[in-house]
Amino acid sequence: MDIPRLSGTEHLILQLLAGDEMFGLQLVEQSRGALKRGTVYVTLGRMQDKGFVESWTEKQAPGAIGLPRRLYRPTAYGLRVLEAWEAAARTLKRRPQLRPAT
Amino acid sequence: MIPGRVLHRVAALICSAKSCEQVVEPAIADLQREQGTAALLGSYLAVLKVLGMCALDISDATDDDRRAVKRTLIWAFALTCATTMLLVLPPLSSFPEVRGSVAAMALLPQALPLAIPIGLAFAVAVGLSGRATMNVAKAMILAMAAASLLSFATQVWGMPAGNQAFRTLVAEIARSNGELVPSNPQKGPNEMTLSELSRDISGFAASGRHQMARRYSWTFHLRFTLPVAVLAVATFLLALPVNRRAIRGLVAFVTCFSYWALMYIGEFAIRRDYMTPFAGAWLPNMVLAAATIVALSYSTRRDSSALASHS
Repeated sequence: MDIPRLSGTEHLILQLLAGDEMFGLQLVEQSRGALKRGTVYVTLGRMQDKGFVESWTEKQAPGAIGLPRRLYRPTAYGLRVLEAWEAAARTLKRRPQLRPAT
Repeated sequence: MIPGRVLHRVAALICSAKSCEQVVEPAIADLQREQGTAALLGSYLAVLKVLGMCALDISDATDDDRRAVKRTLIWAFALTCATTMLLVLPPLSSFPEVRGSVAAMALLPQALPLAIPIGLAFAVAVGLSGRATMNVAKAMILAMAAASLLSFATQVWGMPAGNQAFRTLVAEIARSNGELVPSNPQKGPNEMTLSELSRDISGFAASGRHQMARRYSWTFHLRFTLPVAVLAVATFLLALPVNRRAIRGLVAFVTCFSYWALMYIGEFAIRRDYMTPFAGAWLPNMVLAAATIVALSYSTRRDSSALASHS
């Protein structure tokens, strides 16, 4: 079975969303410069297509002007992919113990 | 007026309904909640970037694609700066009395239209190690179009003013050394605006000075052909079915040199009346466009035969 590919940006977004649901701009602020405003929604849209995240628009107060913001949270599948990648990363970090030659 | 309404309408025209809902509208919603000029400006830039990505349908670009585009643009910027310096230094060293930042700034507009295609050509050759994916090609064509516009603006407005400023500077220094030089030197074809060139071409043609009319016409058309050269040279290198970086670099050098050679062949043909000024000025771009079509058809044929042998 193929493990779904997860780019560095997608990995970071899933890590940030694992804690709480957020708006795109909140993700940019929480990432401390790692995510850019011009690309975060493009990445979130792609992640939604892959089934890693789900989104919905916020409820606006009556009389509010402007477009409603979109909230994002990881799907159960997205969280499983994140766990799988983090487990793989942990495993690969462990180097095999080499015995000195006798 | 609510900020971002015009952008929302533009998005509805150029983006798919899905991209508009998932990608553009959330970015505009953020923009509408921004306070302060700097934050608003940042939001506008972000929405414009999102719009560009959706309009070009490159929202599925991978991290590798983005890295390739970023690397190529950094190469393009560095190489354009280096080429500009190389082009500015000879005239500055020819007039040691006018060395300084003002003279260098005046010479920048005449160097940029040549430096941009050279920088972009080598950047495409070296920055993209192999054939570009469709996403990278689309992003690079957008960058080339922007560079082409910059080149056009420099040629039409910056270069005539810059060249004349440099000539005035040289004349002032010559006069301070006691030489008999007019304070406001007469403009040559490279110091004239498009309307001034057009007026002089008509004047020369009416008075029967056809050689001068052809020379000025070549300069007039060059203002349009050099910006297109940015697209012609870089698109040819983008279409090149070669993966080895060294060979791509060599081809970039040969392409730039050939373009320069064709430019002067065109000018020679115009002077001798073998070609019309329009045909002579556009000759290098037409040759490169033909070469690009040949390169594209060759790589398409090669891809099809590779696909057939796999299946």
